[in-house]
Amino acid sequence: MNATTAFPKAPPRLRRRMLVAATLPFAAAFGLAEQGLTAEVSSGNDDISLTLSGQVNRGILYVDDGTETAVLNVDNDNSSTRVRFVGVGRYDEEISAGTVFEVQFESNSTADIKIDGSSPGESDSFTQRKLELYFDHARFGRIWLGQGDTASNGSSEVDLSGTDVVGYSGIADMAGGIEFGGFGVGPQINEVFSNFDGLSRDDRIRYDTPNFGGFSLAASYADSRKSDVAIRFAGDIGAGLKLAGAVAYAINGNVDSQINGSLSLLHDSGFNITGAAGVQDLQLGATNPNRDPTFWYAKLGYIWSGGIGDTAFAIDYAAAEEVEDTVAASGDEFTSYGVFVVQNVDKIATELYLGARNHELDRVGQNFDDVFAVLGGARVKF
Amino acid sequence: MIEAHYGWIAGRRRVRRLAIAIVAGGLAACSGVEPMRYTPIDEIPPGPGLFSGEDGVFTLYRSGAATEDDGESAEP
Repeated sequence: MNATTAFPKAPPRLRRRMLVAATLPFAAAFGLAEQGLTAEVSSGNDDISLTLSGQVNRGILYVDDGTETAVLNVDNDNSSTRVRFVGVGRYDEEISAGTVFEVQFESNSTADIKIDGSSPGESDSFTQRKLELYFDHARFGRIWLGQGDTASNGSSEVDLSGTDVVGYSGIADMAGGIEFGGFGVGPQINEVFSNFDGLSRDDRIRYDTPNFGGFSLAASYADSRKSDVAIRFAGDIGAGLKLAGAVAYAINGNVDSQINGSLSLLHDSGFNITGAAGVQDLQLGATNPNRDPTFWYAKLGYIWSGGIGDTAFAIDYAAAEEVEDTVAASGDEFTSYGVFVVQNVDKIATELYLGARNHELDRVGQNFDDVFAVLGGARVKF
Repeated sequence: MIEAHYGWIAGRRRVRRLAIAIVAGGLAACSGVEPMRYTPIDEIPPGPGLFSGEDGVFTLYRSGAATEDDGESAEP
């Protein structure tokens, strides 16, 4: 029995209707596609711009927690897979308004994945990064409203080394969900280390001054009585040196306040150094307010320009104390060191990267093996 | 206990001194500075894209003088 005789034939008129029904969506789609090729997106306004951009950043993560090892397919949370729409409309020469819509889609984020391959709490959808609008005046600055960077976000992460896609001060983004002492035993890396990078992204109102000789000042207020202020600098300071840095102060509701900053210096020769540090003052409200969380970070790097694109090398070291908000964390000393290489392939807008990092935790009354991680992958900007 | 107490005070002083050094270094360096654009590390990097080409963005619509640069973060 062949397929054509397995079912009775439909009457000719029904067959014609079925044919029309089956081909209509394709015809419509091809029609729209054809329209898209021949007709532009249009607007009734002048002086406007709407753009789309994005990137895919995937890698392979090898981890060894001292008890077992694993090889995991991951999305690199140092700079996650995402898409962005930016709209701009100019009122006149000085005034403009804009919107930013940016979402990420991470499958197996390096910040969360555990050694068994699970990612608790991971969203199987887009998650918000920026959903905001702004009004900008060339002489008076810019006001932002919506979900986006608080004034202090990024202030611990200024880095000119060219290796930030695989290693930077936010070291818990590389293997943050891996636990000390084995699966389900000790604390996760991202629980015992933080770079106190301001107030991250949040629903806030934010003001930025214009740029004065490389300097700018920003302040923001977010829900739950969070507020912060930050000063930033970025410029070519002569003698072949480029300098970028930021310092921020943040109040996080009734719980704590913090001061943090980072500085990065790049010489035309390619040599570069980067440093970051932060400290938190805890008030009543924390589970263990008797801690004094601190962190510091240092990186030495070199960028070789030539060939298929820049090649960047770096080594770094980080230390943090009493970060986790638990009684057991009193006296915690966390240290980490790593080595990184990033190869840019300019012709295909790709960065190939490889990094290795060791994580060590000294906790009073407990003895944990080091956690070792290697991350290799590629970021493709599309 | 007392040693640990003074230990963390020394650590916090080091952090604060570093923060002051960052500000002082920036201020000292500001004379004769040529401002540059710094893209925060967790942002989409500047430069061309694999499919979007030299611009690095797909321009869905543009009229007049408005550009995508007007919509980028004001952060250095």
